[in-house]
Amino acid sequence: MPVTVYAVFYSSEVHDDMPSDIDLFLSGSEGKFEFIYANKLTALVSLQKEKNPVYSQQEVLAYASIVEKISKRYAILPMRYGSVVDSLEDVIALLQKNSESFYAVLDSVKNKEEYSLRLLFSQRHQHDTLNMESTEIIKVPPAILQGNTETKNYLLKKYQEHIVEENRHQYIEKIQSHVTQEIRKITEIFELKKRVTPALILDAVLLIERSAKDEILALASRIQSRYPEHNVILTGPWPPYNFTQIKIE
Amino acid sequence: MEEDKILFYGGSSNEIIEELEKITSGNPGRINATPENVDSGLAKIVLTLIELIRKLMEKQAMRRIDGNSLSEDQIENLGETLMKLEQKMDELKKIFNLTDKDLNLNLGPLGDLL
Repeated sequence: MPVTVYAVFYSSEVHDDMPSDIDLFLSGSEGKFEFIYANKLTALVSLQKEKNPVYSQQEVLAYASIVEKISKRYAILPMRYGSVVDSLEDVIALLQKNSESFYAVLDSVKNKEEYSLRLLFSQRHQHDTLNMESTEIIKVPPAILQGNTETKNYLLKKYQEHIVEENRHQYIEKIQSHVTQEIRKITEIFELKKRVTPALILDAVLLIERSAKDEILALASRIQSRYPEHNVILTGPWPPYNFTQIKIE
Repeated sequence: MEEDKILFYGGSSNEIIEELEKITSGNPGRINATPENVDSGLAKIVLTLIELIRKLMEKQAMRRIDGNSLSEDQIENLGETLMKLEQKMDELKKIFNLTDKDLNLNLGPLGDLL
């Protein structure tokens, strides 16, 4: 019967802090959960009820919620939704084959939690800045673009857009550099993610000690005070999804 | 996102919600080619690549303007070429019923093409 795998963690953590009843510990979650042991590792799994389950958003959220609950208790390697193997024997094989990689990752996330820190462009500020910069450029166009021809007017418009974009990049890089320095005061383990929308100035994921929650809150507050014209948002703690990516054999 | 996961936010909550929705909803810019829409599916791929090249040409042109390395004739030539290229792209987009937003591809972890 197919088996859903939720997370992998050190067996020693479970033995030290064994929940008396896994299902009760994961109360509210559907399904029968089991701990599967191999080498020094444990996997939290559940047997799939149906051979061809229907995948839905609700199922994804339920899966994430279970991973979340377990991550609050143990240092885990969280699996992604859809991590299904054919049998319990395959779970054991998975743990045995990948034990060295799993140990390395679990050591790196021990006693740590993931947070997300985002800084967003305020739409009003963005609008004001762009207008101001465009006005400045119109005042002094480059010599080569002076002259009232159709092509020069077209190029001047493109040039203005180009300068606004360049200024915007420089502005964002400056803020990113400053915030990065601030983040380094708390942790060296962080990643800046690609800016997927133009309004995103910074999208960082950080791995910090569980005990450092107040520090990250203070950091968000400091950044907001420094850039009151923008929007700061801090979320977490999350299972360490962004810091446990390994190639499974 | 669960509310208790938001530990701190500053600034406009409306703007934050709007932006987070954009970030989490992902980009629908995938090629969805089926036997029925293969023409527009292919057109979308080709026009996306042309648009990428056009934007690169535009950027290069702006760098040359910045570098002040163009003569009067060259600037007229450049302006006319870029202008006609943009007009031609607009015509093609209309023919295949595509918008600027359609001419983008999500490259997964690399982000958007344009």
